[in-house]
Amino acid sequence: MKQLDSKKLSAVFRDVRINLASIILVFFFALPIYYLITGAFLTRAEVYAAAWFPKKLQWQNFYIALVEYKMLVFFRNSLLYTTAIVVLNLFFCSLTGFALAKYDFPGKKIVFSLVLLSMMIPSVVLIVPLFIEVKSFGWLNTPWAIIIPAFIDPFGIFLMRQYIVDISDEHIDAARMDGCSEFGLFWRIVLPFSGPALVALALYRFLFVWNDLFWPLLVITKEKFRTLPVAIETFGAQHFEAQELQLTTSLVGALPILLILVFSSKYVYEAMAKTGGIKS
Amino acid sequence: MGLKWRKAAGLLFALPAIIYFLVFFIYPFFFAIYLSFRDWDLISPMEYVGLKNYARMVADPVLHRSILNTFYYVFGAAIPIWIFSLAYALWFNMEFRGKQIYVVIFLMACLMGLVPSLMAWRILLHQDYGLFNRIFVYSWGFTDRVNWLQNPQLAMPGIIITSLSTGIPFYAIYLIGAVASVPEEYYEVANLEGANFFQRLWYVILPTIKPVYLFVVVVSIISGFQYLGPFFILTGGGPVDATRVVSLHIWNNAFFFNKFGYAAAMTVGLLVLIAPLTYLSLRAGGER
Repeated sequence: MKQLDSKKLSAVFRDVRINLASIILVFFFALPIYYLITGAFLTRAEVYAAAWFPKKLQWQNFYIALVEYKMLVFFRNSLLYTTAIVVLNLFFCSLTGFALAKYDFPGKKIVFSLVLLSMMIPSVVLIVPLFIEVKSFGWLNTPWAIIIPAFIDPFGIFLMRQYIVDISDEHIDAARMDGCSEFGLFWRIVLPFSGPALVALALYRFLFVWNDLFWPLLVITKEKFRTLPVAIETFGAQHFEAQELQLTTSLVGALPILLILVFSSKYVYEAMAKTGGIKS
Repeated sequence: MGLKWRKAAGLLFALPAIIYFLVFFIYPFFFAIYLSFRDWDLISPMEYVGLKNYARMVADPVLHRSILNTFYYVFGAAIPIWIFSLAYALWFNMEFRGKQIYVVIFLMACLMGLVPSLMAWRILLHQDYGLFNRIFVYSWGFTDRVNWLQNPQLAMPGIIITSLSTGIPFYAIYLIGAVASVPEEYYEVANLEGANFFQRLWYVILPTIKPVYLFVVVVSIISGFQYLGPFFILTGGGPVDATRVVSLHIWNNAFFFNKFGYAAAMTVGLLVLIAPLTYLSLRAGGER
């Protein structure tokens, strides 16, 4: 009995030791997160005095950011664009993934090579010609400029293809025997079976689109269509002295992601581990 | 409803993707090459100029400075990422109570968004009221003001600090899975042989996670070459071009100076620079 207790005790000590070390080890990475969250509630004087935490929570910072500087509008814009893109990607990436995983068709090899190749070509390489192209379509300053070029995604296709390959052919053939149409196979067999991959895909696209700065900065100059990251960046450039409000607007932008991570970090973690990391 | 119909259905399902690749990948790709032989400001008529834009690249001192800066940034950020992402992955491979909290912090650090993270860093790195300096610099006895983002010698290290705060957690989380997949028996054998930590790392862990680690190495380099965010938001390429990188130079030439032909030529140059890495990463990806 006594021996068991000392074993337990040493296990507790081990956990405490490792936790103490972990706190020191992650301190650097936690610093910007901590400052984003607490800094959003500081007064301007407190920012300039390098305060660690607010004496009194400045909730009016949020009123000023959301209403006076219209972050609520930009938040809604970002939410609309992101939702539209995620829904489109869930459908089209899995449809293409299904075609690549379960069908033979002329040009299949080429399409798959294009998927791999375009995953590896940095976006900055294509941004100049893409901008000119989208401009010639007349999409500048419309939501289309953001949504249409992102309706499908090479990495998303790859992700869905890898998952759908493992769905057994027997299921699909059996449904086909029962007179299920080809699209019905996709809609009624493949999609319901692909839950985890769809979650990973939705997360990946949400994070990417929600955080993207440069493309929306380029194609949207009208304020009413502006996205949140662009608005935060613009605000920071125009109101350099309003440091506390820069933190508030930034927290508004990061909040959905922070909340998702607090409540479903396991999901995100699994998705990242499974899909081999989310392409940044 | 024979095999022919099935083939047609497959093609039909892939059609949106094929259109996507044609319109948003292949066409812009070749258009960039086409444009690189021309002068164009988007308004006046396009003008064929032969190799002028490429000749200009050879003669542009700002571009040369940008290329050097890009290499400084890419390896200045990537090498610590290779070391520390693996170190953190090994650390968090340990089972202990409370681990989940640190995993959440790591996830937040890399996923909270580039813009919010950089806005926080801009204040944290300030020479007078930045908490980073208070903790990591002034409290160790340095009395000189350290002005990370406005000092030509410190601006690039300052930007690298911000990139490490997102890059290390990102790749560490990616590597945790790989490290966890090393079979327990390997460790047991290594222990029987009396291997120390570095021997275990070299002979047991690294060979097992090699494909994934290679992928991390290559992807961290590729993404470093195209990184634009911190340069755009924190320094704008300054002070005195100390942080002007190729991607920023391309961006400015296209969207501030309207020299789309020259920007396209540099784009092609960047692509040629990255192509071997891309090939490597595809191979590393294939090995997985």
